[in-house]
Amino acid sequence: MAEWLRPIIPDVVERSDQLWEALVETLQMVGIAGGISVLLGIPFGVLLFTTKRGGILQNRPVHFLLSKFCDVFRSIPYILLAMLLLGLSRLVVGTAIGVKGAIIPLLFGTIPYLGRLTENALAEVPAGMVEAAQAIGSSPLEIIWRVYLKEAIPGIARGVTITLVSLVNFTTLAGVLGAGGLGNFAVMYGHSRNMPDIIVVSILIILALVSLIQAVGTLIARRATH
Amino acid sequence: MIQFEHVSKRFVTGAKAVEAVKDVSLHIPRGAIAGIIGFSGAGKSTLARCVNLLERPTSGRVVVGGVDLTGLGPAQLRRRREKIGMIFQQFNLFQSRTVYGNVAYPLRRRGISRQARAEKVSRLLDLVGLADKAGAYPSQLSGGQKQRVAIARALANDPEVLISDEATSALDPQTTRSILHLLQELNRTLGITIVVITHEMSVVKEICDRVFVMDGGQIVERGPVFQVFSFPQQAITRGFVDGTSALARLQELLRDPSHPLRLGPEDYLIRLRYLDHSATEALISHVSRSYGVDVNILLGDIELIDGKALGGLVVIVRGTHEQVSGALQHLSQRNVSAEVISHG
Ligand SMILES: Nc1ncnc2c1ncn2[C@@H]1O[C@H](COP(=O)(O)OP(=O)(O)OP(=O)(O)O)[C@@H](O)[C@H]1O
Ligand SMILES: [Mg+2]
Repeated sequence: MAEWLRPIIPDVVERSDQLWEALVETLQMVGIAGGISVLLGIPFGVLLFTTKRGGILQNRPVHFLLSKFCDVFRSIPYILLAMLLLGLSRLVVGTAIGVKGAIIPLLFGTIPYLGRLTENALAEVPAGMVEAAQAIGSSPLEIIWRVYLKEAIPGIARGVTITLVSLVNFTTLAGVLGAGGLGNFAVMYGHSRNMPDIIVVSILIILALVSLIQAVGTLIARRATH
Repeated sequence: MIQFEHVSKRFVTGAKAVEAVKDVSLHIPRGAIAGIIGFSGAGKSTLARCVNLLERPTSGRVVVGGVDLTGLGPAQLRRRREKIGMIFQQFNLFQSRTVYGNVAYPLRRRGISRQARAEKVSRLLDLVGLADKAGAYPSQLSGGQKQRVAIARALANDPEVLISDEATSALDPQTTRSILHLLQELNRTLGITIVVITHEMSVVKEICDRVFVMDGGQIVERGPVFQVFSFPQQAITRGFVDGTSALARLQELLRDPSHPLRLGPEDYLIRLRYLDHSATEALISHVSRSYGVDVNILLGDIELIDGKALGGLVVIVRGTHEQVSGALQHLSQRNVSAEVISHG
């Protein structure tokens, strides 16, 4: 790292390799968990919404189960949920630490969240549009794909943005529990060894990451609004 | 084309049950333009939605194009729905799709090439007069243009039936007429059977050839538009007829005791209804000459419905009892019904 920074943030420059490694770990966690969250969370939200009473795939028991699942996992504070799920992680991926061990607990934080946000986004699609599609002869799957998801792109993009931002938040907590990443880096050096410049730099990097996510999300949402 | 046999629809919400459609049987032949008129809450939309089973009747049979829809499975029902187009008051266009995308939507499923699809869409947009708007989004269109897009979309699957649920209720009178005339043209050129749901008498008069009057979930009166509106049997139908005519306003005037319209001893206030003829003026002057009565026309309210004159005149006829009754007899022979409202 540049020598001229040494007087300003000495501890960071000293540990630039670890910082780089921590950043990569955070990006890996956000990337992998974020990707899987989107792939599973949006369908989850679609099911949550369409199985509701009056929905196009109305199914009381399924909706009840999904809804309860959501509420339970969303009401447990993330740090406790993560601790609880480390056992599951060890069982499924063979480890509870590192990036690999963190993914499953992260998913339990994000999928129910994105599910609810997706549900809300779909609820914004006017019923008349769905009715028009039904009158045209569209099947429920077609309506989900070509009406609900298409019309709700701006809302879903906003939901994904919010989810990814809280995912960044979750990764720092996961870091404390042994997942590595910027959270772990900040705690290990900044907090335990009293190196405030490390805390500040970690915060700035996370802030930049969150801003980037926000900007991309807003752009997509705006592009899809007509 | 459309046949309802004892169709009823009950909505149960909590402890309350609403019978929105009660034992309706009707037949609308192929190529007809049928109006369903009634006040808000009469059950018109529910009835319309039973045609393509968006609303499944609680009991009864719905037969469209010879197929009993109530007996079909979900997939077969969807295939039949393709042949029943529907347009709505709120247009219900897909906001995230362009005009082209909206009209192309119903075509995606069928295994036709992109090229054939493009040709079909542009033909449909030509038909509704929006060829230059293909790339626009619904939010950039006026209400009338949106409804034209909705009509093009409804026609994409070459339907045999088109249902219009208050499709012009959100439009101004001029745009309403242009949309109604478009529907009429589609009926003439493509032979589509059209069902027009409305609460406006003027819509029915403009394009329908037959009408069903709905009240409280039932059809209380039905028949050719001309007949139903010239001999309304039910109070509610008379309400629709009078509500739109100037005669209603005159009756209000006559009920007003302070009005200076006083009848002399030989004055008869008479309401004439034209049931057939349109040669009105000649008939009046003929009667006046032949029977020696003076005819003072207070009010004329004649419209052409279905190519026939409907409406009437309110006149004061001055003459002896014999003269006047002779004149009235002559009129009735000429298919003009006369009703003495009062005499001095
Ligand atoms: N999904 C529903 N659930 C419960 N009640 C309903 C439902 N749809 C309609 N109704 C009731 O059925 C009756 C008829 O409604 P409908 O919409 O068919 O009337 P309408 O003649 O179309 O009225 P408008 O001119 O206001 O559109 C009303 O009392 C309405 O409250
Ligand atoms: Mg209605």
